[in-house]
Amino acid sequence: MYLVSKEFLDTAHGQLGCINCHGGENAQTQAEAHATMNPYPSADIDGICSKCHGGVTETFEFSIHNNIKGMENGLMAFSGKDSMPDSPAHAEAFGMNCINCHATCGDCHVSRPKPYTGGLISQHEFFKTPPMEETCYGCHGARNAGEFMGEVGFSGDVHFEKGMTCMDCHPIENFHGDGQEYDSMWEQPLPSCLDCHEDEKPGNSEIQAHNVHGEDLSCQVCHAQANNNCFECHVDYNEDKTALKSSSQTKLMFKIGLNPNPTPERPYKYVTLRHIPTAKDTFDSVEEGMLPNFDNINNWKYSPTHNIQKNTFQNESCESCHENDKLFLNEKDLWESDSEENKRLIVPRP
Amino acid sequence: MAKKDKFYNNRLFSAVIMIVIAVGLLFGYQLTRKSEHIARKLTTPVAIDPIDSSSCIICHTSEAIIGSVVMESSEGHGGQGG
Repeated sequence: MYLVSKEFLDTAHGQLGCINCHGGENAQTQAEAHATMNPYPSADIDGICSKCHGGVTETFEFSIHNNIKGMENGLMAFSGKDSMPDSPAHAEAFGMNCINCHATCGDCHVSRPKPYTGGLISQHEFFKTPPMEETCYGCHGARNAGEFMGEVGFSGDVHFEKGMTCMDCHPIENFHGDGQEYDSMWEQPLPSCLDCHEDEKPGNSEIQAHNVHGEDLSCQVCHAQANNNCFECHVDYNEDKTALKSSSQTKLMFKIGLNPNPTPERPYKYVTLRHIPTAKDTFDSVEEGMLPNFDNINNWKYSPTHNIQKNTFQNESCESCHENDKLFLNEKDLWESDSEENKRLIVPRP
Repeated sequence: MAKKDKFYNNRLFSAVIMIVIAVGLLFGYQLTRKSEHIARKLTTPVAIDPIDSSSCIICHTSEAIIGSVVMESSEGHGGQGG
């Protein structure tokens, strides 16, 4: 809905007048008023928002939310190409599908993200801190945010149950950027459980399992629950060929695998995994064979699953994990359409 | 008869004057610092003249008028993100 509250008109933003941000004309008919109207003024990062919030828009230009570099580089890696301009087909797939995840200032602070439902959150009220259930959930709802809030999977996250929000763990730089350009979200400074749970550092903890396993296991291996996994994702054009819609099969699963990419921040040997919605032929409706490098990149990915609980079925006892083969990624879990590279993540079992 | 001191020779008066000057200097310095901060961070609203949008407001604050507008449908992922 595009209803604007009368209270909004008295706020700092409201007093500017609609036309200052949206353009258009102060005319009597809708056609005349809307002829040059811009419904998404914050889409221009150097536009009206930057006049007052320049410190934010400057860094946001490089934010992963704005440039979705992680998705672009992910697509390029599967394609084996260096950059988007090398292939019009990849540019089309990106521009008609992946780009839906690009967010503007307005997508969080005044309206809901377009891929969710769009429309204003609350009659054009601006939220300094966006309500996560209307904004973050709009894009991340099928996985991390949905799992965090208990909308996807089993129980929600204990931190959510205690009243915490996305913004309580993720620093503002994870949303607005910090001025540096990152190749993916994994390169930027991300929160760590140990930022708050300092006493549980391996070697310092009163809990023996933390001292024994802490260096080798990510926290989620013991404390996360099943997560949402997408298989056989395919995109297809809409009726007027202006967008690519995607569809996939989803499965709640809990899989522990070898860490695909150990880093100093995430050095663990074993981590929880999530199957991402990518198959070798995902983009075949655009052009066949768009992902020739598919088998060289795993599509089971490291997952910091966001549905943490203190007690889980796998940490109930030593045996509930150590003697439970079903928890660990194995050959039978791999689909025919999966990347060959996933085999590297299979946990050797006795 | 003892000569009466001029008021400006009074020690208390001098002390008050010194305090007023010190506060003035500190206040001035503070103002200078603040303006530098604003220029660098650009997070305080700059002067933007309002534009008359009275016709827009008539429609967009009326539930009866806007209620008839159908919301755009999305062709995207529909919240299937990670």
